[in-house]
Amino acid sequence: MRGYLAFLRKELGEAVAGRRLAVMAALFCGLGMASPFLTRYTSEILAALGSGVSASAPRTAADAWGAFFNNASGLGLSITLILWAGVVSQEVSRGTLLLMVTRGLPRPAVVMAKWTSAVACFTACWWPGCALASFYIGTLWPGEAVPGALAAAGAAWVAGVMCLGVLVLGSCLFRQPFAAVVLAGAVVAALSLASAAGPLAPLSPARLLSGAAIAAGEVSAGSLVPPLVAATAVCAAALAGAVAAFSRRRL
Amino acid sequence: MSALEMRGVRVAFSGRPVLDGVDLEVPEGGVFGFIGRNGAGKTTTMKVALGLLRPDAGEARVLGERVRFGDSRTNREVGYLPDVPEFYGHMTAERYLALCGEVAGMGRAETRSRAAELLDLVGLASARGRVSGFSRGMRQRLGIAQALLSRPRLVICDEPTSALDPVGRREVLDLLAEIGRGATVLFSTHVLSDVERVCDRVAILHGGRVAMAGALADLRGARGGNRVRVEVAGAADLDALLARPELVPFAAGAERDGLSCTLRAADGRALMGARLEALRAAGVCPVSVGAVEPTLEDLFCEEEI
Repeated sequence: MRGYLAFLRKELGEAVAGRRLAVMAALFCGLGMASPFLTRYTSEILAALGSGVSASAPRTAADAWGAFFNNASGLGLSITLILWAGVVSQEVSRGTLLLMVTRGLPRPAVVMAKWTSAVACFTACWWPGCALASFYIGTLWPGEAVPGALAAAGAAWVAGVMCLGVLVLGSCLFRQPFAAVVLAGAVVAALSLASAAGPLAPLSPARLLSGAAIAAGEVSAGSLVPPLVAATAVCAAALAGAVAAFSRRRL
Repeated sequence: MSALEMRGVRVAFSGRPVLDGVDLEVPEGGVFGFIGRNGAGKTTTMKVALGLLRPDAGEARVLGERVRFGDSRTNREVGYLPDVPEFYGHMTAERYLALCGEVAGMGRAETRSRAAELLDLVGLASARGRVSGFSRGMRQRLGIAQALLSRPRLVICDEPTSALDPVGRREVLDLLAEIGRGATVLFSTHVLSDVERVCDRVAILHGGRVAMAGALADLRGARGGNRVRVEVAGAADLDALLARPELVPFAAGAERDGLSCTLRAADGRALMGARLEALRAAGVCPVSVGAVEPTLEDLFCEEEI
């Protein structure tokens, strides 16, 4: 446990020093600020630019939350995965893990510390982004409550944590960082297909990424429980696989 | 109990054997030199000893405990310095050693004082900047400091003097000799003069096996009787001597050096006899004749041939 905590502290320090945390914070906070404004004023901006687009029906707070979750779950999560793509493979190829492992750091502790640091950084950036979105949406649409927003934020966060687990597995399996991103993307795509139809549709963790529908109340909170459990199981399986793969890897 | 013991270790990469039945015993205490040409398998041997590589056959034991791949328990008494130590560039030397201490399960106060002592020992006490700004020599010295942090009983160094300047090399060798007084040092190199300078015992890795191992003095003595060196007063005398039929069987291995030459043979006594007979028959009065001890380079090259 001591080795795990020491290595986790190193990982978090590295995320700060390498500016990964700063980039993620800027990204999610930027999306949290920009999505409400763009939702509220896009049609006016386009009309003022003389684009020929006439002002459409007024957008609601639910629309703004939908826009935020689409952007954050799409662009935000994708860039997060790219930033952390080489979380294990790059350190193996640099050779910096050699001295840690030979000193007695258990290999499972390496994997878990790297996943934990990725989740911690994602959490530290995701929720402030959501808070900023909530503030600006509340400012731009005063009095318009969107009760499903918190559930949507939580569901997307769980999906993000699951994706990071799959990413760590990919980083343990493959030398190239992009291969880990491809694996995570492939898993999300497969889960999305599973959520479209069939017996697995209610269970698919990809449903957690439909933030717009959850925020708008089209998806009940109760129906999110099976996907949440499935996401947890996928994440746990990915981490178990990552530990097994890394334990066999030649350093 | 040996510091390191390996029996029948075999390792192959993509079907190509690298280690082909390595038997190695490193006794506790002193400095043990592990030599071989580039690609002989020295690093592979060390990785097996550290649990970083799973052998295809055989086993390794560190201080009596079996080494298992992926399990770092046997490393708690081992310090390791790889040939090119890599560190976290964003850290200072002190912070890096603090991380190493925490990972090794040392207390914070103990780590702090030990780190200060070691940084002073390796000459990095005044290096306050990040490791990313360190020179090659500074990284090597930090590598030695981290290898010694938890007071290991066995220190494994993979080519510790490579890419160092002569002053740096001498400093590192002196440090290893000092460490060898309290712990066991196993270091690999292809610089034979380094081994001759600090090592008590040596093993030569060749053809995937330990071709020769033992105390340096014993190895030299065992092969010393088969070399005879003669010095003459003029080049013509040397030519006449080497043309003698008595020396024809040994002439292929002759090494000329100015007005002297050294001959080698499996039977040293026969060689000395032939040499003396040749001198008499050629009417050459030598300046000196005598048996010589082989250098480590001689022993190494004999194994290579």
